Amino acid sequence: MKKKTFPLLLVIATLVALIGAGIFAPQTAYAQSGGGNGTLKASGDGLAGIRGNGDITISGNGMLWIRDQAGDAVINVSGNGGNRHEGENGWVRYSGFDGQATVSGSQITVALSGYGINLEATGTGKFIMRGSGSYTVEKDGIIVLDGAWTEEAEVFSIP
Amino acid sequence: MKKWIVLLLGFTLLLSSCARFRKQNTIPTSEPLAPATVEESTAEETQVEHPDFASMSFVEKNNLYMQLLSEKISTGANTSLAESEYQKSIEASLAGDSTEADRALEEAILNLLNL
Repeated sequence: MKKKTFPLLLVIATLVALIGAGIFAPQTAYAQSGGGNGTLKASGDGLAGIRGNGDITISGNGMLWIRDQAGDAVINVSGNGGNRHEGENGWVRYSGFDGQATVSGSQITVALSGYGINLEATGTGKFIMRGSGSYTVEKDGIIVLDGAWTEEAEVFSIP
Repeated sequence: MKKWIVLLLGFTLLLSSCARFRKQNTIPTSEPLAPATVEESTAEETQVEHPDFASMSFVEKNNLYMQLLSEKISTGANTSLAESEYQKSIEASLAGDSTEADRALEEAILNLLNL
């Protein structure tokens, strides 16, 4: 009886240990995982930047930057788009932006520097939020990452 | 039998601790703090009063840049050099390089102050 019980208990103990380690793992570990479309929602003041593929809607006041590296982006700027200027390396800048922009594409970068920023993005990619504000990342109806905007440029992933 | 149960409990705790310790070590640490002062200065830059960048937060520096940019554009000044620096700052931020991002942002502010 003892000889049969011991291996079974050993397996159970190992499983308990592994599950326990997973539960107590820090939240940032989720940000490193990948595999599907997540949704990022953020609001605050400072600099919000995101690059990747999917759909991005951003609004606020300040300076908007958009880069379409694949050449397949659909860009729609509404409200007061400010002065549009084509810069270096494929960047398009909207100075004095005070409105909303929707951008869809496969290799897009969108950044808004200013205040009253609201951003929602669905897809995969990486983002930074510098300044003061908050963000959440949701996947399959579950919030997998949330936090505050940071002073330093910390890059997070949308899984 | 009791002896085995005690041994298994000890083994379980050991495994759990090891796994947690390993995961904590893989957490990416935040970028090192930006240098307290900007060492670079040129003869041209010394003609204007430099903001105390070391005491300013990112948002404060960013707001200062946008305020100066707005003022300079309204006077018809050529702000392309400053805006080019600012673009570098955004690219560095997106790459997670706070040091380079802040350096470029400060350079952009100084460019505007010197116009």
